[in-house]
Amino acid sequence: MTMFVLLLAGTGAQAGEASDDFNKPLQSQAAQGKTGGKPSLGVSLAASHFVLPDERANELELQLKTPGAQTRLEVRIIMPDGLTLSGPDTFQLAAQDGVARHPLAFNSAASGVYNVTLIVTDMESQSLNRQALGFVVRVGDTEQSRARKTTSKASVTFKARETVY
Amino acid sequence: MGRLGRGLLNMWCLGFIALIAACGGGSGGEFSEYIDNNTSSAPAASSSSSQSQDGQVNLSGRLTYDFVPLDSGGLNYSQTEERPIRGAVVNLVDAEGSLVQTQLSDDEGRYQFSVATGTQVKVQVEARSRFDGEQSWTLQVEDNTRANALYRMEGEVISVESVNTQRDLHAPSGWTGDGYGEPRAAAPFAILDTAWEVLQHLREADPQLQLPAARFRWSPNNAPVDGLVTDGDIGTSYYDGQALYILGAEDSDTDEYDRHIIAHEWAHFLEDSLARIDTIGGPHAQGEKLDMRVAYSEGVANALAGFTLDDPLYFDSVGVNQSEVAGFDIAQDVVSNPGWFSESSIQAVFYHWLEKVGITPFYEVITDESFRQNSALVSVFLFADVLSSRQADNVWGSAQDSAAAEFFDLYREQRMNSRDRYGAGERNNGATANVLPLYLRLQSLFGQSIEVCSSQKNGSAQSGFERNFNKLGVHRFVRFRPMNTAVYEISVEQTQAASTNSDPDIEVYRRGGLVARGFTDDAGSESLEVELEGNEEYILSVYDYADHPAIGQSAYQPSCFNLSVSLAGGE
Repeated sequence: MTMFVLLLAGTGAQAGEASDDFNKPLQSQAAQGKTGGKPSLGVSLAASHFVLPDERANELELQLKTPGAQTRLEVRIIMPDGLTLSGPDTFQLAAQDGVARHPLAFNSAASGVYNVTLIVTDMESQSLNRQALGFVVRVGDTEQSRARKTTSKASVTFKARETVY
Repeated sequence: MGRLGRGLLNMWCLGFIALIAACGGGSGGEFSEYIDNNTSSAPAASSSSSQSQDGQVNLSGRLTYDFVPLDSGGLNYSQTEERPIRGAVVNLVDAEGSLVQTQLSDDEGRYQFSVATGTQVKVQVEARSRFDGEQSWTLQVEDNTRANALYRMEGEVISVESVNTQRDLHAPSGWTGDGYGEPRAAAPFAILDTAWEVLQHLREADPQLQLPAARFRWSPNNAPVDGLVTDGDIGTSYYDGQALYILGAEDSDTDEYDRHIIAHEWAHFLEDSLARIDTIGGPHAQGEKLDMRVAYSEGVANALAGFTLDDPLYFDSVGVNQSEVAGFDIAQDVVSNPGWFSESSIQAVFYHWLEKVGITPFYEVITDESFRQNSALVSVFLFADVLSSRQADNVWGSAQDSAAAEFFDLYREQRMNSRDRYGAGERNNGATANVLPLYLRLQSLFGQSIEVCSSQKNGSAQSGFERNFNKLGVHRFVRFRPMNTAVYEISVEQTQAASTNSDPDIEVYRRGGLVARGFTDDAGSESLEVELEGNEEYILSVYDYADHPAIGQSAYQPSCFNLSVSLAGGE
């Protein structure tokens, strides 16, 4: 089994925002004073996009950043179709100095782009104690863009369930 | 007529065309002013009539969507309700796709058009509410993974018979028992409806309410992954000053039915649009010690969500089948680390206060020019100061005087003391050295330097500045007022570093707006030149951008700097 981790985007910033002149994107975001996210546990992933070279078993390291230095977490992994996790899908982690680490090993049926979800529970929180996080695993030689984008400004139209009297 | 009565009358009148004349609108009145800019050739709603005329019949109906309730077991699909699509743009479209008429649905989701018999038309409803009149607003739900296209639903093209006809349109949730097996047509209308409900409280508070367009961006692809929003990798539900992004990823995190989250983000938008938003954003959790700007903005957003939805239990559905929840009680008034830096304390104060006195006193404070144009940064102290001033000036009279007293009772219970916009006299420092007084002051511009310290002790060691930046103690605030308009040099020099090297940075604010910044990577020092107006109060925010690896250790010390201001050019 080979350890292969390629960080594509792991700053935690909203990608797509322009960096400021001094390559401090988050600081720039802070100075703009315009971001208000929903309440959460405050846990984040150090990296959220990974590239694995092929469909064979590959390992990557999960790194969770926590607001508390000694936080104890339970992590449950929800796998997408086509990607298989070797090992348990639920485990407990103890953060040290605000970081919890865990190796994950995957096999995939085919090249592709997979969204993996983590449900993270703070085992000691008395209040909001659960949060969903996600990361993207790109396996093999696959299209870089997920190609959902369109330049059309046309509306997204749903067919109504219509009753005529 | 009182505010409430007038507001309710407007709601009653809005959109139901048969009532337009009775409401004093009619041709040329406020309700005839509604025009969809995308279809400017369309006749206004007042062109319709419930009275049958020669060759005309009524085409009416009811618009509904599937609302999936959220409880402690997650989204409860077995209890799905049909709810009205309220205040939405309804279009009558001919067989060629051209717009014939448009109007807004009423509070029951009803619409009514007068149509010529024999024409081929379909009914179309947009995930948008738009009104231009004495009050004005635009709320719309778009797909950020499809070029921000507007969501809508429509029926079939059917010939209009010679009798009055009813066509009801329903947006299903798409839930098929073990997943979303069908298109999730209801989701955009669920988001619109929560925003609509919050909007009604504002309409009651302000008969002249004028709001800019609010753009909610939702997609089934919107996942809790950091990345490109055009891919749906939005990270979380958030407001960025331009739009409100909402999660929609099935079996991961969907927020379209999590009404408190919609209302929370909507509250950030309202704060930005109607009052002033100074928050620096970033991750925030209940119980954390936060920068005062973040604590105020997040706490107020939670309180407004609980109040306007008449439910203090904040739930967030996650996981497989959206069957798990995270949540907290907004009304909980026993909180850890209470104070002006606590989102939990501030939400408790504002939620209970809104419950006691209604939204009008709050609305009047945040829209007061002395709040919006204040030189102090927006925090609970600025709110308390403006509230106190209005009380002292007897703006509200004796009835509302008690509203202020109610606020300050709750305020004290959460260990907030100062009623000064700069926090003068505040005694609660959150067990964090160097945060009080909240603002230092440069008494003289020249020849004086003062020491300011930036601490990340309320963050964590390996999180780095990128996650610690919005915690209590990182930003140190300094007031100064130049006597003359000139170009000034603002400098900081390290006197003590929390790590090997510090990286001090400076931001300069005028009435909450960022006017200059010093963001170089220079170790141990920073300087910038900026032209400043004489006799105008500026706020400097000084902090250390460097990571502090010793956080949590007994030897941890903040980074400290000498700050000075001089005329540029060495005078």
